[in-house]
Amino acid sequence: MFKKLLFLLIPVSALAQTEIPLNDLSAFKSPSDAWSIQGGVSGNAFETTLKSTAGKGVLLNQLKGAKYLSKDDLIFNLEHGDIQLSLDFMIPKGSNSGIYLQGRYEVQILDSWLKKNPHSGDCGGIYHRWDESRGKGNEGYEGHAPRQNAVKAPGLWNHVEIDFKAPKFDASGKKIANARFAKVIMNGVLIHENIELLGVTRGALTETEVAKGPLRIQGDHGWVAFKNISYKVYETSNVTFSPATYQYYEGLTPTGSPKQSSPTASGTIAQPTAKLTSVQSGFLLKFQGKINIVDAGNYTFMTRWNGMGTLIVDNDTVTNGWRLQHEELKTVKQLSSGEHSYSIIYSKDFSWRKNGLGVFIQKPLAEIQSITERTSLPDPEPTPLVELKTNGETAIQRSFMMYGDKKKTHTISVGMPCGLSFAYDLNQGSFLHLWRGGFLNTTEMWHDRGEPQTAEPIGVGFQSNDKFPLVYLANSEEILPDSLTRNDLKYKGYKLEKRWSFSGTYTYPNFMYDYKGLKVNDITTPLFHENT
Amino acid sequence: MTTILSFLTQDLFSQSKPRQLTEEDFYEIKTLPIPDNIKLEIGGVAPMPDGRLGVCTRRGEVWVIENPYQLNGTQPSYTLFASGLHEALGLAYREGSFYCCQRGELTKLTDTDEDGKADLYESVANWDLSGNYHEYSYGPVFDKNGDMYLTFNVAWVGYGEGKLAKWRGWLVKVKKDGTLEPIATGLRSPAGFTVNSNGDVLYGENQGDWVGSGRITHLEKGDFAGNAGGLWWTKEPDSPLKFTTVKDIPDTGEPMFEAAKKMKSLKLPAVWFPHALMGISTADMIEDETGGKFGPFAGQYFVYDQGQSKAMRMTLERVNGKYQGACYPFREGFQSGTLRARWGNDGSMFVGMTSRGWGSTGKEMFGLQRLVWNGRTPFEMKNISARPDGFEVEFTQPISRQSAENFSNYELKSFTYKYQHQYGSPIINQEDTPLRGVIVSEDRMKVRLVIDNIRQGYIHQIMASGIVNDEGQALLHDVSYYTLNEIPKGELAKVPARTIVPMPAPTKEIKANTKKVSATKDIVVNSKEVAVLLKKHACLSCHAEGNKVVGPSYSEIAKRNYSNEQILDLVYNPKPENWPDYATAMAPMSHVPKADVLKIAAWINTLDTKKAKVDLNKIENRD
Repeated sequence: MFKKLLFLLIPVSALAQTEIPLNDLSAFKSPSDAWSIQGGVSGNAFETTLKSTAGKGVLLNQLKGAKYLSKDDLIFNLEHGDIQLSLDFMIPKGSNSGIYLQGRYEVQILDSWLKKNPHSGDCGGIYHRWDESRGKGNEGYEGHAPRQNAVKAPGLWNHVEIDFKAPKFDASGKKIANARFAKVIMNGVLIHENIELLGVTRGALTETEVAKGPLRIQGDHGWVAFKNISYKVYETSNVTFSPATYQYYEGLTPTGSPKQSSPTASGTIAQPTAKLTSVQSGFLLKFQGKINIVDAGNYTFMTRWNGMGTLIVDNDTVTNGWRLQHEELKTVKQLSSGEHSYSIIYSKDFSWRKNGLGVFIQKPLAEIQSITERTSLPDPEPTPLVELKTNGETAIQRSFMMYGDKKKTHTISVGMPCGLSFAYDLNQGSFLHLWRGGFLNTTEMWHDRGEPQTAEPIGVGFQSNDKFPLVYLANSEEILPDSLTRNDLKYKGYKLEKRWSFSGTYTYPNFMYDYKGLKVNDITTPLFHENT
Repeated sequence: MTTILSFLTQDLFSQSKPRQLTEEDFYEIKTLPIPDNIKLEIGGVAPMPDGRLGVCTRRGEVWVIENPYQLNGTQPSYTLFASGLHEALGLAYREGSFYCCQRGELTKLTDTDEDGKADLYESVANWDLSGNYHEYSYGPVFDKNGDMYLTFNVAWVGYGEGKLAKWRGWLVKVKKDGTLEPIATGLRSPAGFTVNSNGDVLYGENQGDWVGSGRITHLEKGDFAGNAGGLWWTKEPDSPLKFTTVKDIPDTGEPMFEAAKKMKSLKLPAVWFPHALMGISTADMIEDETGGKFGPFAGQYFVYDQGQSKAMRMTLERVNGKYQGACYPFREGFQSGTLRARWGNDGSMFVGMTSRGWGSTGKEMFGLQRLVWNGRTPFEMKNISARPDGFEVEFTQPISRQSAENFSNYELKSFTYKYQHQYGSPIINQEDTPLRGVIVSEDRMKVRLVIDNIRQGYIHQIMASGIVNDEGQALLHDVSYYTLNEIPKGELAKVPARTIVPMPAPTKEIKANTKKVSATKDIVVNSKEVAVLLKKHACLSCHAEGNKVVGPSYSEIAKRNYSNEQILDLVYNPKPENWPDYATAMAPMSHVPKADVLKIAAWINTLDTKKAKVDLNKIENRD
């Protein structure tokens, strides 16, 4: 662990997304006059239209004519197979749209705000398929409701990420793999994972499934706006590897180098693997091999290991450090076409985690390839979800909680019966997070030892500023403090106070402070106590 | 002569010898039923004067249990008094309120509107945390003045680190204004502590870095109990220790007793609890202030071990002004990891349990039980006190003079542990402490053991296996470990010098070398004998034949196909890396005689085939 403090920070550059420019409508095939480019849009929860300002960067549909005319759907020039799509959308009250992958598989966009139990036709749902031969009332089938309602109120931007796998076909054109939503994330909430689609959804361009099809946005039902539309498309990688030589040393000195100068075992192996070890602790493995690059470019190297590791490519140290396997290291390196040498040095001097070594390479816009053998990195331990719910009463739970990259140690989360929750920093008397949906994921506190000891909000929400709302200022020029010390702000506890409502009486915590001699009470209650 | 005597003894009693009594013949464990939907992972226990019981849990709940004594055999009733606390590991009840220790706060919980639920959660004191999971906070324990004590674990970052947040690794007192007064440091994992009837703070420590074995230490202001993590804060103006760093510690691996000669602030434990033999993770302790309601051990202490799900007993005396004493087995068989114990109003003891994240012998994830004395006096070594030339052992019942005067009924030796920054320690410097004489008191309640080679600073094992009482009943527990920091002055016993000079037992760390061990293929496996050995050497505290306990089962070990010699090597020099799925590393058991280990090893290696047969039978018998 000592070593952990000494690691070098390695700059991580994310693989570039391809952005669809919204300077004009040239990215789309003959858009109808409903569609325009704007500089900005705004709306609210009560109006059925959006306001716009002139400029570039926002795609707006102001449906003008009749509904349900397919000319108003927006077909992208982009034809895609597997794709990771990311975009922001905004709808006015009551509006309806959808994102059709390959023009055929729809993730629904709808004003489903405040809907408690969403179904497949609600926002974030994978819209159902349609077959009239199933008989009246039964035409819709195989729709998928989102795991929870993650859409924000009309007039707010929503962020969606979709990882889509296109159907696959053999040489004869026979389908060998279904289309699949690998992940759909709305406003940070995972709402679908690995849902296979046995066929196209209702309203598809055609019933025929294909390897590549155009991205399409439904535009015939109402107003909708989009921005930040970007994607990654993965190709099959063409990096190849030659067998690697290895040296295995058993026994380490306290500084982590092998006790013996000559290896305990050595040889050649098809792929590097931590499985070459015969002990759980006190060993060092060294691999050397070659990577064959066809296309020159910026390649990303990713490493994950339990213990100390170093990856060297062409004599450059690419990643290095003491890590556990969930802590990935990532570096981009430019590689010319041709052969490149690599070496991996992996050592471990503790037994409380399994041996694990994973080294990966990614060609730009291609899928990740493993340099190490598949079983070299153990599967993560199976961990059940431990969830805390409100169950009709205010739920309160103290914990550690992440706030950005900071671990807050005196956090209290309050889940109100109305379905809104907040996390509050007792050291600062301030909000950290506010969300709605579920209450709290306490797995990292209450599974096994609970080593992170952190709780996580379940639901959709936003981060607050972690600032105490009051401040003494000597003059108007004085700068507001970033944080308060335990001496300035003395947390004194909280009192559970009752609040009456039509559906019942609920209790809410009233936090008590001594702020430089001033007694402060801070209670947060919802406008509407009931969960609607 | 001796042989004849013991023959006679056996003969005399063979006619009327009663069944060997067990722990449960004297102390009964009563299980409190827990409603199915409650995860009662107990961190604190607080009996209330009105007959109810408060418990707090690692999930941050406080439950008040009505009818916990189940007087009419009826069900207890659970009410959720408070919730939302952060890993509550200690609870006390005082003047209508509960005081509960959360990770970062001492909280007073009060029900102001009498609806049975706390509505006022007052912060009595709060302190910094780094966010490291190992920074557990324990307490409060009240002293007679109404002041409260807390203990703070160090963080775990591959070693115990105190500097990540203020006063980690310290015993602190909560002052009236809520500020913390640092009292003593050197604490690593102080899960259990108490303020005794004399007002002295005793705390239990868990084996780890700087801690060779479990132990109990008397903490006075300015003491340094051994773990370096908390020393960082001696730089503070209110530190009762002068500025000290890890460099001031003699980190040489010599015994702590030797290191303490070089470092004045280093406090020796009053009682060592030899690792694996007397627990693996020292937890709560409690002084017997029941005035006899709990049996014949008034004024003594009961010390729990979380990993081994058991209670031990401890006696203390003051020699040259300092506490020292002995530990004894007491009661095994609790349902989960025994973390917390408090006296009930009737002189029975509530035991709160949790084992999540740490293995324990009791297989439940959590539990709540009550230990009740049933009025019968067990035949025990009641108390051991030091003498200038040995020890005096007091018994709970008159002993058979013949059995007590038989030298072969005693097994005496001494040993200690390394004091070092590494985690744990093997047993080192083990030597025999041969018996020179035995003096049985007139009333046959005591024996004076006069020994050669009495060793200051060492743990002395006193095993008295063959001693029987007037009914021919053997001791319920035949072993004890006395920590002899100080040898009292006084009159020497008048016994003749021993003529036979005994061979010293194997000493130092035994590095078993498989090559040097003779072939042992011919060992005849006697399951009964092995069963005795497994119990004698406390193997069963961590291992069982078929189930995972703290360590792997013997059947699992058998599957590894080790030779008997390899098993011997592994018993003397365990390789925890071979068993990554087990939370607790095995201690080197190099003090167990080679012949015994080889017998056990040979037995283990018969298990593989046996098990297969048993399984076949099971399949046939399935209905």
